[in-house]
Amino acid sequence: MAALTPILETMALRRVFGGLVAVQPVDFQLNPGEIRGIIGPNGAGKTTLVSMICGRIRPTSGRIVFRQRDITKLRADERVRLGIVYTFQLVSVFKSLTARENVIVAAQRRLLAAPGSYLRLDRAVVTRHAQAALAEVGLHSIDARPAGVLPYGHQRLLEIAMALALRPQVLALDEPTQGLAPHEVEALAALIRDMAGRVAVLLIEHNMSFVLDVSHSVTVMDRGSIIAQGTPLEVERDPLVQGVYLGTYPGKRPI
Amino acid sequence: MTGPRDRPILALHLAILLLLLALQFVLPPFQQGLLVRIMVFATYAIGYNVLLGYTGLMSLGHAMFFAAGMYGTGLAVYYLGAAPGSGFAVGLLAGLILAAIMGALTLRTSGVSFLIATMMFAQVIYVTTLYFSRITGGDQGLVLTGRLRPLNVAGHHLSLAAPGVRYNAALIVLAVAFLFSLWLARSPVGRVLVAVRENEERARLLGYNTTAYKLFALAVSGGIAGMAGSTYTLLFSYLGSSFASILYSIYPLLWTLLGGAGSTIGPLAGTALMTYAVDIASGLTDSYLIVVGVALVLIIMKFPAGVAGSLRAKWLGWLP
Repeated sequence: MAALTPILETMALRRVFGGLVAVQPVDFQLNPGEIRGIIGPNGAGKTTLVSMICGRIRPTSGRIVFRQRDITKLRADERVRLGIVYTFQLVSVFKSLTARENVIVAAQRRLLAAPGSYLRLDRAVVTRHAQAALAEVGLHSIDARPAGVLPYGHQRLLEIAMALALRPQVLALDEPTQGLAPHEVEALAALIRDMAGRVAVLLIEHNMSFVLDVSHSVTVMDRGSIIAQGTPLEVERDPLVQGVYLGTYPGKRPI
Repeated sequence: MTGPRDRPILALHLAILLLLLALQFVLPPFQQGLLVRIMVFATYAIGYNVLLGYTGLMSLGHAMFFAAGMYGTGLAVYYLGAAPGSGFAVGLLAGLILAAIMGALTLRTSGVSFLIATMMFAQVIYVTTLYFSRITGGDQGLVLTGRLRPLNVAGHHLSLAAPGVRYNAALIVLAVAFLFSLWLARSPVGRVLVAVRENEERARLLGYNTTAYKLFALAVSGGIAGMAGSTYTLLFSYLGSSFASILYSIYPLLWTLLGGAGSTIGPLAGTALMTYAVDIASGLTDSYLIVVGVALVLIIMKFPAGVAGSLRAKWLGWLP
C-alpha cells in the first residue's frame, strides 16, 4: 500500500486534556477510497484522534495534511467544505425538520460553492440531490415526517444520508452500528462496502465482527497510541492486539 | 423559489395585510391610532423573531437597536433637517450597524451569557442617551414637530402627522418586514438558521460557518428593529430615552413568545393581543399591568408555543 499517496495524513498528532494524554504523538495515513476500521478499548483515543482530523478538537501539537495541504489550522466547517465529513456518535439530526429537510440542509451546502451562490440555488436541484442521498441509505419513503419522531435506526441512517449528501472524500463514522437491529447492521455494511473506492471511510466501532467484515484495513489503538495496523486477518491474529483487546487467549478467540 | 403550499401561505399573509389596509376605513380614529402603534411594534417584534424564533438566540438588549433607529432618524431630522426618507435610511443603517458590532462582541457567548451580554450593552446605550441629554433630550426627549418636513411622494407633500398618512406609512413598513421575514424563513438561508437553532454543532459539521450565520441574523434583526424605531419617531414626532430602557427589550420578547416564536405571523398576533389586553385592562383598573401579567401567565401555561405555535401544532402544520 506504500505506493499510494495518502489522502489524509497526521504527523506526530497529539492531544492532552489537562494532565491526561488522550492521544500520544500519532502518525496515521489513510488512502483514497479505503475503508479503515479504528478499534480499541474505551478511552483508547479513537474518537479524540478522529475529532482532531475533523476539526472538532484542536490538537495540542502535530500536523494534519489533507491532499498535500496542511489543514491543522482550519475550522471544522472549512474542513467539511474540503470534503472531510463526520457523523456523530450520538444521533443529532435536526429534530423538528423533516427527514428530507435535514438532508436538504446538507445538500445545499455542497451546492453553495461560491459566495452569492445562494441567489442561484435551484430548489429542484437541491431536492433531487437530497432525494438521491435518502435513496442511497434506503430512506426515501419516510422523508416527510419530522426527523425527531423517526425510529432510532432511521435517525442513524438519516445521519449517514446527510453525510453522503455532502459528497465526502473522507467520511468518519463514529460507532454507526450502535443501537441498530441486526438486519439494519447488514444494510449498513452493504452501504459502506458500496462506498469503497469512492470515499475513504474512517470507521470507529466496538462491534468487532462488523469492523473485521467491512474494513480493508484496521488500526488498533490503546492508551492513546497505535499498537497495530494491517488487514483484518493480520490484526485479528496479532498477539499484542489479542492481549489488550480480545483478551489473552493465544491462538484462540474468546467465547 | 417555489414549493408546496407556497400559494396558500402567501395568500394568508397577503390577506392579513389586506385586512389591515381595510380596517382604516371602518375603525374610529382612536382605534386607528392604536393600530398604528401595533403595526410599528409588530415590525419591531418581527425583527426580534428573526433572532429568537429562527436562529434560537434570545437577546435582552434589543431596545438598543430600536433606539439606534429612533435616535439615528430623530437626531438627523432634529439637527440636520434631514428629509423623512433619508432620516429613515439613517435609522435603519444605525440599527443594522450597531447590531453587527454587537454581534462581533457578544456572539462569542451563547444561551444565558448572550442574554446578559446583550442586556449590559443595551444598558450602556440607555445610560449614554441620558448622559448626553443636552443632545438627546434625555428622558424628556425631543419633539420633532415643526422640524419634520412632509413626505414627498411623486410631487405630493404628505404630512406624516396626518392620520391617514401615518396609518398607511406604518402599514407599508410592517408589510415590508412581514413579507421579508416570510421570504427569509422559507429561503435556503432561513433553513440554515433553523438548523443552527436546532443543533449548532451539527450545522457546523455540515460545513456551515455558524458564527457568520448568527451574525447575519443579528444584523437583520437589528436592522428591522432600527427600521421600527425610525418609523416610530417619524410618525409620532418624538424620541426619548424610555424607548432605550430595558422595558423595550422585554416587550419584543413577550410579544414574540405570546404570538409564537419561530412563526411568521406570531409576532404580529402577539403584539396585537398584548396591546389590546393593556388597552382593555387600563379601562377597568389603574393597576392594569396585574391584569396583563395574569393573562400572560395563563396564556403561556395553556399555550407554551404561543398563539401561532399552538395553531400550527393543532391544525395548520404548514404555517411557516
